[in-house]
Amino acid sequence: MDTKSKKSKLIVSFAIFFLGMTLFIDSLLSVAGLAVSSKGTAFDWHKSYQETAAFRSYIASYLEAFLGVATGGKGWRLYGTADRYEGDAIVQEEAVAGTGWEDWTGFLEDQTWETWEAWEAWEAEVSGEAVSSVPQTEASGMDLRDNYRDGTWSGTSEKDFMKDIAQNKNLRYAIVYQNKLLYTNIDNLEGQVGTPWDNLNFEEQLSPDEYNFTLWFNKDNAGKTRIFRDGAELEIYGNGMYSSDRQWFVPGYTNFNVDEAAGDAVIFLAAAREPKLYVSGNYSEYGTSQYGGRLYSIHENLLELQAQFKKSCILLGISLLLLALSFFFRKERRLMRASIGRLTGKLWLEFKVLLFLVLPLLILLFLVLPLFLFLGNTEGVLFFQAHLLGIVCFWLLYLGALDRNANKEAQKKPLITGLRSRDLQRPLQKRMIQRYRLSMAIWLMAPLLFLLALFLPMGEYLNWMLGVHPLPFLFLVLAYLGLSAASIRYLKKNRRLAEDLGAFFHQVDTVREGDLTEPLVLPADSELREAAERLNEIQHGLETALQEKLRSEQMKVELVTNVSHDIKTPLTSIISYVELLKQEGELPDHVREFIQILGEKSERLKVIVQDVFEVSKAASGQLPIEPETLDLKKLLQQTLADMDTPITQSGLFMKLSFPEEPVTVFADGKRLYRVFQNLIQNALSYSLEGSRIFLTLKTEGAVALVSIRNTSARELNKTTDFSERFVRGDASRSDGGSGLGLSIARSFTEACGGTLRISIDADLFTVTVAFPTCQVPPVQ
Amino acid sequence: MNECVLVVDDDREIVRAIALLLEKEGYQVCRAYDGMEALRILAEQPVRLILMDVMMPKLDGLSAMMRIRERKNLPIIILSAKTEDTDKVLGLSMGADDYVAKPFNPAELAARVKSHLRRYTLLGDINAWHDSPEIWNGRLCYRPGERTLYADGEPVKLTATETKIIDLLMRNRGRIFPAEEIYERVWEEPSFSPENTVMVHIRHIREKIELNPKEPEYLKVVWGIGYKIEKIETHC
Repeated sequence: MDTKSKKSKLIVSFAIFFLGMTLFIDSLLSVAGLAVSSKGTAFDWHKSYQETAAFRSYIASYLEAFLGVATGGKGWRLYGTADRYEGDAIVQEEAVAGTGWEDWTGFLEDQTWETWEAWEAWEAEVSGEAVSSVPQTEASGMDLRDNYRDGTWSGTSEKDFMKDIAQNKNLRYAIVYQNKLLYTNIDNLEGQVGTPWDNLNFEEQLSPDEYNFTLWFNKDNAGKTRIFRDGAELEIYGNGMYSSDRQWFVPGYTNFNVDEAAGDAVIFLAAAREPKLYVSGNYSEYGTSQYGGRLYSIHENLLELQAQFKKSCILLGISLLLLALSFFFRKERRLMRASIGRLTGKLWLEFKVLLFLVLPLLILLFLVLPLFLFLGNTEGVLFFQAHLLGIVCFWLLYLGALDRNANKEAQKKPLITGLRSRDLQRPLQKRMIQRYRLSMAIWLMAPLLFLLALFLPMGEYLNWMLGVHPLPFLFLVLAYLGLSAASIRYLKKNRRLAEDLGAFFHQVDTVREGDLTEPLVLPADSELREAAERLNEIQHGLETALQEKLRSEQMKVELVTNVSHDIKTPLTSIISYVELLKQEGELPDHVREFIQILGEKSERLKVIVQDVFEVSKAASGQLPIEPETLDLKKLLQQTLADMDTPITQSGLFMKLSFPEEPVTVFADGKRLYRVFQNLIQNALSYSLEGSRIFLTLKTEGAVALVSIRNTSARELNKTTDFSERFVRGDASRSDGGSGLGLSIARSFTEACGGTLRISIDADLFTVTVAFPTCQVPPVQ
Repeated sequence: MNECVLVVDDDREIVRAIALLLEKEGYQVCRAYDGMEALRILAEQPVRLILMDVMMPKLDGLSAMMRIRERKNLPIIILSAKTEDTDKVLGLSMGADDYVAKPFNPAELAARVKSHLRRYTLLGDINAWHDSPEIWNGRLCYRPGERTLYADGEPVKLTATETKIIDLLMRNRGRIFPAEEIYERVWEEPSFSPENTVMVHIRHIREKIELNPKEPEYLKVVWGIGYKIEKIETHC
């Protein structure tokens, strides 16, 4: 239950992190994308649509069109039915079929955003100032002009155009030419069209609440344009020169003049504060039409953009909150990371690499590249599409880093090595034969494919060749068949060779595994015959050498056994008679002393014989070992207790250092006792009088270390290997030992699976015995 | 009493030395120099114990012993220069009562001869003691009621602590006791580094009960684990 809740806590904490991070990337990219694509306008919550570039270009276009209308020019035609949308698209399609016109209208008016183009159009509308200076004329207006010149202009008259325009109540206008009111859609003044214009103040006819934007052209016959918003006049001209970074494309700059005719025109434009959509039903003609959609859409789009931006900012805030929350679950997340790392560690390396390369590539190919290929101005779209890429890339990188951290050693688990090793497990001959077969198939297929490639596109040529030159063709076919037959023959030969090779390698394996009796017999005509015979010779030589070694080893042990037996028998007599002599009464004192010496020396001889016997057995690996789990600390304490008397008598001091807990090893207790008895005896025999012997036991990792350090009474020769048989510290060999103590210690240690090392530092003689520890507690 | 001991060895000097040693101890000694001779003497003399070498001409020690065992139940001690465990096991399993390695300690050999003879002549068959509450182990016998240990039928003088140790070990023959446990059960107080104390007592006991205290047969150290009294089945 507890682990279950713990597990769910892990998952929840990670889910919070995952959600927070994903949301964070998404919303950050959104905010950044919106901010960049709107050139910062999205940050201004209260900004009016009238401050957008799209609006400015819209107004500038209409000013241009109206100037055209006023002066009787044709410029207005460029804008055509710009602000009208036919409810039934088919009508228009029929009217302008094949001109691409419908795309353009749809482009402008279709705000349902169901198409890719609409998406992009929306983007274009909100895009930056640079576009504004060369407004519609640059992007879509050019197409119009082309249409016009091509004569595909469907031809509405000026009156029809103005009639359409009048329906758009979002834009109020008045056109005065030569002091005569030509056109207006200001409700109260419509009746006065055609009448002379006497400084009628158009603004007064409109509610400033409804129409807060007004534009005057040539209001005071100066050929200038004046723009007011919310009663305040806007600065248009700056230093008076028009350049491409100007916001307003309107006449009145010193380098942007109007023709003479236009000097007589006065244009008034007013734009609604909140544009609406005007629909009029003209069912007798072509159904419903929408007017004023353009301004409406500019306004709506801006609102939409701002809402979107707000939403993204809120999401960003939420994601930051989530991330902050997940900060408190750091520990759980670390655990989760570890378990995810374990999961990914099981994946094949190739799969990971593929994922890393292919997934971003796919996104690049299918999401990002199309944007570049099909659309021009798409940086905003790119940002929006980049969300998925960003999120996926982040998590991939996150997983990658996690995988790297968690599986540092086991990072590579490549599928290919698995397959390769599986392939290698099969016998050599099978692998070779398979390869031969494959190469054969390729050899047979390749010319066929080549011929096919050659003749398929020229079937006639083949016919011609067969008809006109059948002989060369027949020759070619025959040659091909002949070559194929030859290659099949070689394949067979190679196959046989492969089989022999397989048998050969099998034999090598057999020899390696120690089977030296079975020779490899290959048929006399085999290409590997000679090599096989050599292998057999090696095998035979090896067998002989091994037998000889075994025999000599056996002989050595037998020799030592016999020799020690033969020495022991007379030694028994010596010891016995010395004993008898000792019991003899009435002997002079010096004879008693001689007998005493004889007794001591014969005892020592006995020890030496026994030691030689044991050390030679150990050296030839014939020492019987009965290992069991035992406590090395206890063994040392027992040994010390056992040797209590000689230690006390030696006048030396034992300094002991044992760990608190038992040190368990798996070894033969009796042999180990001999090892430490010899080592301690050695230290007792050769230490400087009154010095200290340090006996320490410690564990380092899985190794138990016993070290015995003593200060030598004599100067030590550093180059001497003291564990060699019969080597002693003094060349005269006059002391009591057999010279086999350290040798026995080393042999027994090694027989029990440990190591014995001797180091000499000036007079400090150190013996270190190392044993691998085992985990099982000693049996009681 | 002048019991007759048969010494068999192809090395005449050894036979003579052993004979001299044993005669000093008051035994009558018969000598033989190969297996066949041993069998012949055995048929003629009232031999109570045999000391026999393994490697001999005509009839080797082990074969001779097998033949003797067909008819006689007397103690046989093998004397051999073959000192490996496998040799000892072989000899003991073929009917020997003891196995003494050459070169031997003369005093120890004499002690062994004495011990075996006592058990054979005075204490008699093990089965006769079967129902008694005594704990028999080789040449040792412990009577829990008296809290007395007998070696070769003679009481061993032990101190109170030594008796407690013997009591614990004899009641659990073959079981290995760590020094801590011996200390806690004998001294009845928690142990602190008991190895030395216990070892001192063990050594004292050994000197009293073992024939050769340097190579104990009964009270043994199990190196790195603890102490025990070997469980010894009697060969008859």
